[in-house]
Amino acid sequence: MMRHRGVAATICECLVDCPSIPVSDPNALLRNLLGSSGDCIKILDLDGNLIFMTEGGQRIMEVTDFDTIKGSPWPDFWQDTGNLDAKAAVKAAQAGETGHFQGFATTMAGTPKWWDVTVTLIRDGEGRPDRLLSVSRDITESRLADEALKASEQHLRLALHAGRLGHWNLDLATGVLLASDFCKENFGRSAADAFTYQDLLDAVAPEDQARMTAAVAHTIATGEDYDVEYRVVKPDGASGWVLVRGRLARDLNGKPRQIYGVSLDIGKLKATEQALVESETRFKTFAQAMPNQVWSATPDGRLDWFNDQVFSYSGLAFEDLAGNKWAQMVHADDIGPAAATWSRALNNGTPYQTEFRLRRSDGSFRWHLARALPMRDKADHIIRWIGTNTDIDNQKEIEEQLFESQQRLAFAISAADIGTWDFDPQNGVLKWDDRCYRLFGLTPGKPVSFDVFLAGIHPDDRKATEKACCDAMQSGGSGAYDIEYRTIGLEDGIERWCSAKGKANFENGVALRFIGTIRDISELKHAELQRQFLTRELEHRMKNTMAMVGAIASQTFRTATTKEEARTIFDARLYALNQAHDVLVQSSWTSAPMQIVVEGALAAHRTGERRIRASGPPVDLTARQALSLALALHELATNAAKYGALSVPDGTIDITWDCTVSEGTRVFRFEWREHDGPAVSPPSRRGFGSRLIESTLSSDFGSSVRIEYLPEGVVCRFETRSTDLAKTPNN
Amino acid sequence: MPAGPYAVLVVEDEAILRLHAIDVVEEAGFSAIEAKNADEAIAILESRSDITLLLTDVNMPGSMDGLKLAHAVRNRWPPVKIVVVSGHRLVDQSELPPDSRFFGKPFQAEKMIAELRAMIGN
Repeated sequence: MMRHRGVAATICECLVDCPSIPVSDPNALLRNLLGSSGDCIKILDLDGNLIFMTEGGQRIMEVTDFDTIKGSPWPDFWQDTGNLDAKAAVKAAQAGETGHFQGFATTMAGTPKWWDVTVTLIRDGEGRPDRLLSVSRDITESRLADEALKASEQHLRLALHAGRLGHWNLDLATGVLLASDFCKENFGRSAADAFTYQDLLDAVAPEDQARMTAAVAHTIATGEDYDVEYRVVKPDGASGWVLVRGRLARDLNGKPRQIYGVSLDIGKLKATEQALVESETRFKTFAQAMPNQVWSATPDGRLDWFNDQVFSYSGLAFEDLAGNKWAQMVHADDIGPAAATWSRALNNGTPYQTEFRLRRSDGSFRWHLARALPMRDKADHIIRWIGTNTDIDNQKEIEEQLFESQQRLAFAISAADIGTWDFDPQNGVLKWDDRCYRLFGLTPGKPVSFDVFLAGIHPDDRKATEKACCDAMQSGGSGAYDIEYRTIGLEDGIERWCSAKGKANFENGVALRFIGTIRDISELKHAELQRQFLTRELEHRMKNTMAMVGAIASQTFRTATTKEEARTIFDARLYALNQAHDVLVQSSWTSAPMQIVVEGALAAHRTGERRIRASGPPVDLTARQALSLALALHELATNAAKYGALSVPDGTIDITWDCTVSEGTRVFRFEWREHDGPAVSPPSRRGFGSRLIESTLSSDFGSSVRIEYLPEGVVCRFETRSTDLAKTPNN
Repeated sequence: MPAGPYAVLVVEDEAILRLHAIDVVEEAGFSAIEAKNADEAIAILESRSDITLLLTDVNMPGSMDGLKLAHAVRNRWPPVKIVVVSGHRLVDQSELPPDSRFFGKPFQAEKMIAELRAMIGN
């Protein structure tokens, strides 16, 4: 600026004070000179009014018509402080001094510009103040550059400050270190502390010193940037980490002159990094220690790490499994669902869980449960997936076996109609299934307790059952329970026989659970009772039959005249008895039709011709009547064959019976009448046969029996009330 | 037919067995009175006083069976001796009234004759 001012003044002096300069046209020269100048040169009167402006000046000031501004006060072209500065400059120039200022003003066209202005006094030939010279130079560009530089420096300062970046400069010739406050702070020093290069070297942790000095030497030797991280020991003994970067500067001869650069405290970063490494190490340590297969995946689902269990199980290497290649371990049938599940988890960021078969190194497949969870950063972005594969093949098998076994048990229970019960003695809670309820004649779901259970048991069996339960649950006992009891339906009152079996489970000698089954054995019991009844009945019949046979034998042999006769008579009687039995067996010893009893008893005495005629309505006899009648008919027929109608060729026998209603009751009449036999007379001695006929018939038909030995033949008659008969089909 | 001073009441619902029992009693030397059931037997006992011994079956139709009859006879006619016969089961001595004998069915005629004679002979 001084230079510009100097030039202008020199020119003016030349023009004004040295008119002797030989020029053809001094004014033209001056105009050209001034016009070619990049400055805006103006002449003001002593009051500061504008009276002249060079052409170059008008161009710079973008003046189109100088006359419009000619004579106006020059300071008024400046605004604000510029106006004051301009007035002060005019004043200074009026006093013979140099008025100088920098200010802001727009051109006539309105372009904003910065100006460097010098105002000086022009004296006339007498040395008296004549006019003022104002030279304004456009400094807008340099001013902007200056401001940009300032802003840049300011930014750098702010950046260094904000980033807590230290900066430093090491003079290689003198070894002098200039360090900023932050730089000192990085090394644990305060701004006021001295911090020489030696201090810096001493601050570097011993283990990192060699590396640090080598890096410095490398930068000096090669000119490559210096970039090193090292640990520092601060004066208070604390340790830290710093990152230092620098660049070599050379002097004009190319010799290394200085290294300058920045420093940054990276203690926290290092700690985080360390923590991350430790966390990762810890994760992998745990993962390796786990029996499960463990793996991790990137957020997009590519597997990037596996623990050794994966490799040893599959017999594959990392390269075989990384990314999406893990699928080759999965059973072909399970890949589709597994991949779909994995993809869904990745898209939704939700936990992954699936079951699939994984191929073992021996080629066999085992069921695994795969699970994975997303790890998220503070911003909730997924940074990694951690997954596990757990071998559940045994569980699967057990699960299937358990399911099957439960099915089997349920089926067995259902098929056997077995009810189950579960008693918690400590809390007095009793649980029954529906069959249990049914056996106690109670609607399923109704509340039950041990007391309800006891109340449902037949009073005669209650005590024994309660004791059996208590014994089973008694500490030190076998815990076994096996009893039969009757229940009286709590709601339906029906008596049922039950067989209950159970077992008490103990812990530390205390019964915690008493569970078992109950089965309806009513039918079994009834069958057993029936069997017992039948056995008794059979025994009775046997004994009775034996007694009868014994009695018949005894009577037969006592009265017979010869052994042979006795045997013949006995055989025939036995045969008749047997015939009657056969008839009774067919009706299970309840009743026998009259017709069949008669036919059976006489079958042995028929000779083919119709000499014995039997007729009568259907009548059912009781078992005893059937036996008596059969034996009586046999005795009658035997006598007839011996002495009566059957002893001659033309004799016949009519057997008739009927059933009539007389005075409201049915009367059964029976008659045996012989025809055309030899003349008969009453026997001189009543044998067993006659006694048997009279005795049995009268005893079993409830009436007196008459046997008449009429000359034309024997007649045997009896009648009985039908109430003494078995039920009649017609009734 | 032997008609001793002693009469035996035979109670049996089965005619053939009753006949047989009567023969056995008569063979033993006593007169036999027959009844088809307990009610008939009681009526006979009430109507005559020459019954020395009761020979009864156990299983019989009617208001009482042979055991009940035996007890009733023991209570009402204490001197009457009692023989109980049953094919149904072995009757325990404790179910019988004192001074009674039990015979299973079918009984052996000789043994029954000996027993009847022994009981009545005393």
